Amino acid sequence: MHNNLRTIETARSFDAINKAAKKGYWPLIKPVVASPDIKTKFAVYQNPASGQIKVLSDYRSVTDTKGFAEVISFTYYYPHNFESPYAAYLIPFDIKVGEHVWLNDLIEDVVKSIWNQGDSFRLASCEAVWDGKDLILQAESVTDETVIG
Amino acid sequence: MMKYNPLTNELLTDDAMLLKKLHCPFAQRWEHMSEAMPEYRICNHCATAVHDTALLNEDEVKQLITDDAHACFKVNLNQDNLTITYNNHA
Repeated sequence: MHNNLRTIETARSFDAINKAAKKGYWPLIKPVVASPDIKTKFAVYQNPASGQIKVLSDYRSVTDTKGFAEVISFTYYYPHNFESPYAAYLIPFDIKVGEHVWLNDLIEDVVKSIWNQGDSFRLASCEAVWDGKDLILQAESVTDETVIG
Repeated sequence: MMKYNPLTNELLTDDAMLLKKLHCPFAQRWEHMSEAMPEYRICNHCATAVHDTALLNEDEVKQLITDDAHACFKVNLNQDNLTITYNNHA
């Protein structure tokens, strides 16, 4: 349970999906598609004498590279790796139309927050509503750069 | 200078040792919390103090965690006393 909502788990492999189906869940299949809106950056600096490297993710860290030379300038990339190009929300047999649930492992790429250096982060979980055929995401609008926990 | 990994929500020391993995199951927002002291606010859901890491150094964060392993913190990606990492390297 999450905030008194039933939790919907995600299966991210062929075996996990078929195993859940045998247990009575309905696997609601979704493609796993990387969004260009989710991106983080890195730069690599290398010590010309020792070969040791530093990997930076924050422009503010450039001041900490004395004695190192830039070998890859700041470059954006998609930072997640998922084991399969498809996944499934495991829908319990007794779910009701209109029921609010908690998706523990969101399959869709939804932007959670955008950092003022340009990096944008993926929402890991969120509330959704079952409409009888699909889960309608109730993701909040993009939040600021503050994290609590 | 502490480090923070937004992909894993891990707050780290300057040497990249884990201080705490931040997670709030109630998705509370800092701006909705009651202002108690400059260093912390009170969570409206749990009534616990949420410490502002922008006003703490690494040793002070460690001490708070030593005193209470479930201590709550607020991190802003732009605060001056940390940098962002995605690989947890020192």
